[in-house]
Amino acid sequence: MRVKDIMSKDVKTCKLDDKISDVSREMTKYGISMLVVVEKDTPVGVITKSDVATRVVGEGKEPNDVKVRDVYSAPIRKIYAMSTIELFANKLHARNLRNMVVFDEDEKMVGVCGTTDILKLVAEGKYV
Amino acid sequence: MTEKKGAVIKGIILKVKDIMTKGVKTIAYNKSIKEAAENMLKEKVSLLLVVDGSNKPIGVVTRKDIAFRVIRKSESPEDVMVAVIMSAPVSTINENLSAVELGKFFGEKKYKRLLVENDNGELAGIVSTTDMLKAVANNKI
Repeated sequence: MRVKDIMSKDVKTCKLDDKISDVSREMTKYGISMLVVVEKDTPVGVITKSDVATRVVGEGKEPNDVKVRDVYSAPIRKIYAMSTIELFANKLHARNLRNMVVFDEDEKMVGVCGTTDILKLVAEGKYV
Repeated sequence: MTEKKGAVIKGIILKVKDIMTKGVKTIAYNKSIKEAAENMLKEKVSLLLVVDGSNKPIGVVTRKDIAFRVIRKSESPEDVMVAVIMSAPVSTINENLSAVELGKFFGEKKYKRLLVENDNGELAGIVSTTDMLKAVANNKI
Protein backbone atom coordinates (compact mmCIF):
# COMPACT_ATOMS: atom_id res chain seq x y z
CA MET A 1 0.00 0.00 0.00
CA ARG A 2 1.20 3.50 -0.90
CA VAL A 3 0.86 6.93 0.67
CA LYS A 4 -1.32 8.00 -2.30
CA ASP A 5 -3.90 5.36 -1.28
CA ILE A 6 -4.52 6.84 2.18
CA MET A 7 -3.59 10.56 1.87
CA SER A 8 -5.99 13.48 1.89
CA LYS A 9 -5.92 15.41 -1.40
CA ASP A 10 -7.52 18.50 0.09
CA VAL A 11 -4.50 20.61 1.13
CA LYS A 12 -5.23 23.71 3.21
CA THR A 13 -2.60 26.42 2.94
CA CYS A 14 -1.66 29.74 4.51
CA LYS A 15 0.83 32.54 3.86
CA LEU A 16 3.89 33.72 5.78
CA ASP A 17 2.21 36.99 6.75
CA ASP A 18 -1.04 35.44 8.03
CA LYS A 19 -1.74 36.06 11.72
CA ILE A 20 -1.63 33.14 14.18
CA SER A 21 -5.13 34.04 15.42
CA ASP A 22 -6.46 33.63 11.84
CA VAL A 23 -4.65 30.36 11.05
CA SER A 24 -5.84 28.94 14.40
CA ARG A 25 -9.44 29.69 13.40
CA GLU A 26 -8.80 28.08 10.01
CA MET A 27 -7.40 24.86 11.55
CA THR A 28 -10.23 24.70 14.11
CA LYS A 29 -12.86 25.27 11.40
CA TYR A 30 -11.62 22.34 9.31
CA GLY A 31 -10.64 20.16 12.29
CA ILE A 32 -7.07 19.77 11.05
CA SER A 33 -3.68 19.85 12.80
CA MET A 34 -1.54 21.50 10.16
CA LEU A 35 -1.57 24.07 7.33
CA VAL A 36 1.02 24.12 4.56
CA VAL A 37 2.84 27.47 4.40
CA VAL A 38 3.08 28.68 0.81
CA GLU A 39 5.24 31.48 -0.59
CA LYS A 40 4.72 32.43 -4.26
CA ASP A 41 2.92 29.11 -4.88
CA THR A 42 5.84 27.12 -3.41
CA PRO A 43 5.35 25.13 -0.18
CA VAL A 44 8.06 26.29 2.26
CA GLY A 45 6.98 24.70 5.54
CA VAL A 46 4.05 23.89 7.81
CA ILE A 47 2.34 25.48 10.79
CA THR A 48 0.92 23.03 13.33
CA LYS A 49 -1.19 23.02 16.49
CA SER A 50 2.01 22.35 18.43
CA ASP A 51 3.72 25.42 16.93
CA VAL A 52 0.81 27.56 18.18
CA ALA A 53 0.71 25.89 21.62
CA THR A 54 4.45 25.98 22.29
CA ARG A 55 5.92 28.91 20.33
CA VAL A 56 3.03 31.36 20.77
CA VAL A 57 0.99 30.52 23.88
CA GLY A 58 3.91 28.88 25.72
CA GLU A 59 6.01 31.99 25.22
CA GLY A 60 3.25 34.35 26.35
CA LYS A 61 2.87 35.99 22.94
CA GLU A 62 -0.29 37.66 21.65
CA PRO A 63 -1.69 35.49 18.78
CA ASN A 64 -2.94 38.63 16.99
CA ASP A 65 0.60 40.07 16.88
CA VAL A 66 2.47 36.93 15.79
CA LYS A 67 2.71 35.97 12.13
CA VAL A 68 3.17 32.53 10.61
CA ARG A 69 6.72 33.48 9.50
CA ASP A 70 7.76 33.92 13.17
CA VAL A 71 6.87 30.42 14.38
CA TYR A 72 6.30 27.98 11.49
CA SER A 73 8.26 24.75 11.01
CA ALA A 74 10.63 24.53 8.04
CA PRO A 75 11.85 22.96 5.81
CA ILE A 76 8.80 21.22 4.40
CA ARG A 77 8.20 17.66 5.75
CA LYS A 78 8.17 15.78 2.49
CA ILE A 79 6.97 12.28 1.59
CA TYR A 80 6.35 10.94 -1.92
CA ALA A 81 2.93 9.70 -3.04
CA MET A 82 4.48 6.45 -4.29
CA SER A 83 6.27 5.72 -0.97
CA THR A 84 5.04 2.66 0.91
CA ILE A 85 3.14 3.32 4.12
CA GLU A 86 5.83 1.34 5.97
CA LEU A 87 8.45 3.87 4.87
CA PHE A 88 6.02 6.68 5.74
CA ALA A 89 5.39 5.31 9.26
CA ASN A 90 9.15 4.93 9.81
CA LYS A 91 9.78 8.53 8.74
CA LEU A 92 7.03 9.86 11.01
CA HIS A 93 8.40 7.81 13.89
CA ALA A 94 12.06 8.77 13.34
CA ARG A 95 11.23 12.48 13.19
CA ASN A 96 8.51 12.40 15.88
CA LEU A 97 5.93 13.86 13.47
CA ARG A 98 2.18 13.30 13.11
CA ASN A 99 1.73 14.60 9.55
CA MET A 100 3.74 15.10 6.37
CA VAL A 101 3.18 16.83 3.01
CA VAL A 102 2.84 14.55 -0.04
CA PHE A 103 4.58 15.26 -3.38
CA ASP A 104 4.47 13.47 -6.73
CA GLU A 105 7.50 12.53 -8.83
CA ASP A 106 7.43 15.98 -10.51
CA GLU A 107 7.84 17.61 -7.07
CA LYS A 108 4.27 18.90 -7.19
CA MET A 109 2.36 19.00 -3.88
CA VAL A 110 -0.55 16.55 -4.11
CA GLY A 111 -1.78 15.95 -0.55
CA VAL A 112 -1.18 15.60 3.17
CA CYS A 113 -0.99 12.40 5.20
CA GLY A 114 -0.70 11.53 8.89
CA THR A 115 -1.23 9.12 11.75
CA THR A 116 -5.03 9.57 11.56
CA ASP A 117 -4.99 8.17 8.01
CA ILE A 118 -3.05 5.12 9.25
CA LEU A 119 -5.46 4.72 12.20
CA LYS A 120 -8.40 4.62 9.75
CA LEU A 121 -6.68 1.84 7.88
CA VAL A 122 -6.25 -0.15 11.11
CA ALA A 123 -9.83 0.48 12.26
CA GLU A 124 -11.26 -0.58 8.91
CA GLY A 125 -9.23 -3.80 8.99
CA LYS A 126 -7.51 -2.89 5.73
CA TYR A 127 -4.04 -3.38 7.09
CA VAL A 128 -3.35 -7.01 7.99
CA MET B 1 3.44 47.05 24.51
CA THR B 2 0.18 47.29 26.48
CA GLU B 3 -1.38 44.79 24.07
CA LYS B 4 1.47 42.31 24.57
CA LYS B 5 1.12 42.59 28.35
CA GLY B 6 -2.60 41.94 27.95
CA ALA B 7 -1.89 38.73 26.07
CA VAL B 8 0.49 37.46 28.73
CA ILE B 9 -2.08 38.22 31.43
CA LYS B 10 -4.83 36.40 29.50
CA GLY B 11 -2.58 33.36 29.14
CA ILE B 12 -1.74 33.37 32.85
CA ILE B 13 -5.32 33.86 34.02
CA LEU B 14 -6.64 31.16 31.72
CA LYS B 15 -6.25 27.80 33.45
CA VAL B 16 -6.03 24.26 32.15
CA LYS B 17 -9.46 23.57 33.66
CA ASP B 18 -10.96 26.34 31.48
CA ILE B 19 -9.88 24.71 28.21
CA MET B 20 -9.65 20.97 28.97
CA THR B 21 -12.11 18.31 27.88
CA LYS B 22 -13.81 16.85 30.95
CA GLY B 23 -13.78 13.09 31.37
CA VAL B 24 -11.52 10.62 29.54
CA LYS B 25 -12.60 7.72 27.31
CA THR B 26 -11.39 4.34 28.54
CA ILE B 27 -10.66 0.91 27.10
CA ALA B 28 -10.08 -2.43 28.86
CA TYR B 29 -6.46 -3.67 28.82
CA ASN B 30 -7.39 -6.95 27.07
CA LYS B 31 -9.14 -5.41 24.04
CA SER B 32 -7.39 -5.49 20.66
CA ILE B 33 -5.71 -2.41 19.21
CA LYS B 34 -8.10 -2.69 16.24
CA GLU B 35 -10.94 -2.08 18.68
CA ALA B 36 -8.99 0.81 20.23
CA ALA B 37 -8.56 2.34 16.74
CA GLU B 38 -12.30 1.98 16.06
CA ASN B 39 -13.15 3.65 19.39
CA MET B 40 -10.77 6.55 18.74
CA LEU B 41 -12.34 7.28 15.36
CA LYS B 42 -15.89 6.92 16.71
CA GLU B 43 -15.23 9.16 19.74
CA LYS B 44 -12.95 11.53 17.78
CA VAL B 45 -10.15 11.23 20.36
CA SER B 46 -6.46 10.46 19.99
CA LEU B 47 -5.92 8.89 23.43
CA LEU B 48 -7.69 6.24 25.49
CA LEU B 49 -7.10 5.53 29.18
CA VAL B 50 -6.37 1.83 29.66
CA VAL B 51 -8.11 0.25 32.67
CA ASP B 52 -7.67 -3.13 34.37
CA GLY B 53 -10.40 -5.61 35.42
CA SER B 54 -11.44 -3.42 38.37
CA ASN B 55 -11.64 -0.29 36.19
CA LYS B 56 -8.41 1.12 37.63
CA PRO B 57 -6.26 3.19 35.19
CA ILE B 58 -3.01 1.40 34.33
CA GLY B 59 -1.79 3.29 31.26
CA VAL B 60 -2.68 5.16 28.08
CA VAL B 61 -2.76 4.23 24.41
CA THR B 62 -2.50 6.87 21.67
CA ARG B 63 -3.26 7.09 17.96
CA LYS B 64 0.46 7.36 17.31
CA ASP B 65 1.24 4.21 19.38
CA ILE B 66 -1.22 2.19 17.28
CA ALA B 67 -0.26 3.62 13.89
CA PHE B 68 3.48 3.12 14.40
CA ARG B 69 3.27 -0.27 16.10
CA VAL B 70 1.02 -1.92 13.52
CA ILE B 71 2.74 -0.64 10.40
CA ARG B 72 6.34 -0.88 11.58
CA LYS B 73 5.99 -4.40 12.96
CA SER B 74 3.55 -5.62 10.28
CA GLU B 75 1.30 -7.12 12.95
CA SER B 76 -2.38 -7.89 12.66
CA PRO B 77 -4.23 -5.27 14.75
CA GLU B 78 -6.72 -7.90 15.89
CA ASP B 79 -3.97 -9.96 17.51
CA VAL B 80 -2.29 -7.28 19.61
CA MET B 81 -3.71 -6.44 23.05
CA VAL B 82 -3.92 -2.82 24.17
CA ALA B 83 -1.86 -3.72 27.28
CA VAL B 84 1.09 -4.72 25.07
CA ILE B 85 1.55 -1.29 23.49
CA MET B 86 0.22 1.06 26.18
CA SER B 87 2.47 3.61 27.90
CA ALA B 88 2.75 3.60 31.69
CA PRO B 89 3.01 5.30 34.10
CA VAL B 90 0.61 8.06 33.09
CA SER B 91 1.81 11.68 33.28
CA THR B 92 -0.68 14.19 34.66
CA ILE B 93 -0.80 17.92 35.34
CA ASN B 94 -2.84 20.00 37.78
CA GLU B 95 -5.99 21.69 36.48
CA ASN B 96 -4.92 25.05 37.92
CA LEU B 97 -1.78 25.32 35.77
CA SER B 98 -1.95 28.38 33.46
CA ALA B 99 -2.27 28.13 29.67
CA VAL B 100 1.21 29.68 29.29
CA GLU B 101 2.77 27.08 31.61
CA LEU B 102 0.93 24.33 29.74
CA GLY B 103 2.30 25.61 26.42
CA LYS B 104 5.84 25.62 27.87
CA PHE B 105 5.35 22.09 29.17
CA PHE B 106 4.11 20.85 25.78
CA GLY B 107 7.21 22.39 24.20
CA GLU B 108 9.74 20.99 26.69
CA LYS B 109 8.30 17.48 26.87
CA LYS B 110 7.15 17.25 23.23
CA TYR B 111 3.71 16.24 24.51
CA LYS B 112 0.56 16.75 22.42
CA ARG B 113 -1.84 16.06 25.29
CA LEU B 114 -1.88 15.38 29.03
CA LEU B 115 -4.28 13.95 31.58
CA VAL B 116 -5.50 16.52 34.11
CA GLU B 117 -5.87 16.08 37.89
CA ASN B 118 -7.76 18.27 40.35
CA ASP B 119 -6.33 19.38 43.73
CA ASN B 120 -7.54 16.12 45.32
CA GLY B 121 -5.47 14.09 42.89
CA GLU B 122 -8.55 12.83 41.03
CA LEU B 123 -8.60 12.52 37.27
CA ALA B 124 -10.58 15.51 35.92
CA GLY B 125 -10.07 15.39 32.16
CA ILE B 126 -7.61 15.70 29.32
CA VAL B 127 -6.01 18.72 27.65
CA SER B 128 -4.35 18.80 24.22
CA THR B 129 -2.81 21.13 21.67
CA THR B 130 -6.25 21.03 19.98
CA ASP B 131 -7.85 22.58 23.11
CA MET B 132 -5.12 25.23 23.10
CA LEU B 133 -5.73 25.97 19.40
CA LYS B 134 -9.48 26.35 20.05
CA ALA B 135 -8.77 28.78 22.91
CA VAL B 136 -6.64 30.89 20.55
CA ALA B 137 -9.27 30.66 17.77
CA ASN B 138 -11.96 31.82 20.22
CA ASN B 139 -9.85 34.77 21.48
CA LYS B 140 -9.51 33.33 24.99
CA ILE B 141 -5.74 33.70 24.78
